[in-house]
Amino acid sequence: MQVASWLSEFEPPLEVPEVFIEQLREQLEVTARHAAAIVRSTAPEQLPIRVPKSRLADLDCCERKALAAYQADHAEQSITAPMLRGVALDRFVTYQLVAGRVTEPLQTCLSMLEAEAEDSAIAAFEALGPEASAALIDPLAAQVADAWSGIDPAWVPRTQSKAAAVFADGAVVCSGIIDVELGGPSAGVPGVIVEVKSGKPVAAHQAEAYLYGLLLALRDGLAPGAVARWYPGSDLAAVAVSEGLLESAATRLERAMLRWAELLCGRTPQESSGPWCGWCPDNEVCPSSRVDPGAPAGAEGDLEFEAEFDPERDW
Amino acid sequence: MTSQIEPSKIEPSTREGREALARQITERLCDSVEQLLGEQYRVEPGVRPNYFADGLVVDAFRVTERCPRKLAGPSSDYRDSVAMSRRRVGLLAVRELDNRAGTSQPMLVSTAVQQVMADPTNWPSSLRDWVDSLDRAGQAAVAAAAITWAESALRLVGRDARVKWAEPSQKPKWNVPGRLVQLSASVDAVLGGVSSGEKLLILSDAVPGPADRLRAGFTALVRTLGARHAPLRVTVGSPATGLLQPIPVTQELLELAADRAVEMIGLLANPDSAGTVAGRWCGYCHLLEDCDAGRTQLAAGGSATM
Repeated sequence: MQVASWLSEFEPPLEVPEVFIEQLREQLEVTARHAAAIVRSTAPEQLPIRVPKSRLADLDCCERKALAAYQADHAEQSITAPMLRGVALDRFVTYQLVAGRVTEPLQTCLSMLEAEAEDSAIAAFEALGPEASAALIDPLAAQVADAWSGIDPAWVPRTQSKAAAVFADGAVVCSGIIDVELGGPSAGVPGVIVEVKSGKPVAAHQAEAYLYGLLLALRDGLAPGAVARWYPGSDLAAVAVSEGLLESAATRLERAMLRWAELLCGRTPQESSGPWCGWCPDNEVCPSSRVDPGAPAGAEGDLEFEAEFDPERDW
Repeated sequence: MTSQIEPSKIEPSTREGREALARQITERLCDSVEQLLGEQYRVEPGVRPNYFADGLVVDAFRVTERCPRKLAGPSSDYRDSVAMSRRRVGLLAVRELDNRAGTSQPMLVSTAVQQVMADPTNWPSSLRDWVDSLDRAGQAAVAAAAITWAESALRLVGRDARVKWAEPSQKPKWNVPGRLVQLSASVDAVLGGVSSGEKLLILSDAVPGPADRLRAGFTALVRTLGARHAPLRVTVGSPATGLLQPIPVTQELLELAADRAVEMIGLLANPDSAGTVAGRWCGYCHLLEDCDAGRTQLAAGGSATM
C-alpha cells in the first residue's frame, strides 16, 4: 500500500492519556536514577549513560556485542554494500518528499551526500564503482516513487527528525533519529512515524519503532497515532500506538539502562550467539561466536550504519 | 578601574538595573582583557580591524568546550553543509511564515521553505553562494533539513506573533574596544523589548544539561555588551526533547560568562599554554592524531560517538 493511501485512510486510535505518559516518564526516571547511581559509584567517568536505539538492539542480541560495538573504533569500520543501500534509500525517500520522483538515482544520492558532507559514504560508492552502485540502488528509486508519492502536504513530512529523552538530571540519555515523521500537534493531524528499512524485517526493527513512539510521546507529551516500518517492495507495517505499546517500549528501555550501567561498571557481559555474530567486532575472539561462513560480511542494511544523534557532537 | 555601582545591589528586574548591569559587566570585561593581553591584539589606529584574519573571535560554539587545547586550536576546515545551513534556511522560513501571518490560510512550513529557497536574493551571501552551487538533489537535502528544523522549532515555541525570529545574517557581536577581539553569539528568537526586558531564545541540538547555563550566560553577555542593556532571561530550547529551560540573567550569570570569555581569549591568544583535558570528545577531535592524551583516552575505551 502507498504511504499516501495509508495516511488518507488512517483512523487515529484512542488517544493515550497524557497522565499515562507522565507516569511512564516517572517510572523511567526512577530506573534512570538507579542506573546513574550504579555508574556514579563505580565508574563516574562513564556518565552520561547513553542508550540509543542501536545499543538497545545490541543488548537485546548479546551483551558482549553491545560492549564490543561501544569500544570499536568507528573510524575504521568499513561501509558495506548493504549499508550503502540503506544510505541511498533514506536519501531517495527524502528527495521524493521534497522534490518528487528520483530520475537519476546514483547522481541524486551522491549529490545529497556531497551536500551533507558525508565523505565516507561517497568514497564507499566510488570504491564500489558506478555500475555496481547503480545496480545496488537503482531499483530502490522506483520502489520509493511507488510508495511515497502523492502525500498530502498537510502532513508536513519531516525527515531525520530528532527525538531524545533525558533522565536523572542528564545522567541518562536515550536518543534517536526518526526517518520520517508526519503530522503531529503543530500540523493539526495525528502524528505518525515511518521507519525506512532497506534490510529484511527483523524483530529489532519493530522494537525500534516502538522506542521511537515512546520518545515522541515523551518529547511532545502526546503519543503518535501509529508507528510504521516500510521495506521497499512491501506494504507498510503499521501499529497503532497504545498504552501497552508504550509500556513495553519503556520496560525495554529500563532494562537496557540497568544492564548498560552494570556493563559500564565492569560486569562481565553475557554472550548470546546468533546471526548478529557476523557483524560483531569480537567475532574472531569470542568463544560463543557463531559466524555463518556463507553470510555476507558486515552489518545488514541500515541496522548499524546510521550514526546516532550525539548531543555533544551536534552542539 | 572599578565599577561605580555596588555589584551586589544591581537589580536586573528593572530597565535601569539591566543598563547598570551592562555597564558593570563591560567594565569588568574590558579591565580583564587589558590585564590579560597587555600589548597583544591592539587595534592599529587608522587600520580597519579584521577580526577573523588578524584577531581573535570568541564564539558561542566553543564556550562549552572542555579541552583547552581543542579550544585554543580550532579546526580550520569549515565546510558548508546541510548541517551547517539548515538552521539559517529554517530561520528564513519561519520569518517568511511570520510575514504571511494573518492571511486566510496558515502557510505550511514546507511551502515557506520552498518559497525562501526559490528567492535567495536577500540571503547571507555565503549561504546563497553555497546553495546556488548545489544541484537539485543537493538543494533537496537542504530543503528537507530546513523543513525539519523549522517544524521542530515551531513545535517547541508555537506560532506566536510576539516571537521575533532572528535574521540569520545578523548575529549578536561585540568588539572589545581598542582590541582585535570579537565576541560572537547566536540567538534564534527574541520576545519583548528593551523597556520590558528582552527574552532571548537559543535552540540547541544538545540535550539539556549543566552546560546550558554557560551557553545561555555567554549569549546574554554578548547581547548585554552589544545592546548596553542586559536581557531579562535566556531560554534554552531543545526541540529533540521538547524542553524549554528559562535561565534568568543575573549578575552572577554574566560574571560567570565574562570570566569564561576572558579564559577563552587567553587560550586563543596563547595556544601554547593550553593544557589537555581528555574525554569522550577526543574521538572526534581534529587534533587527535597529535594528542597523546586523547589517543590514550580512546585506547582505554572512551568511545566518543556513543
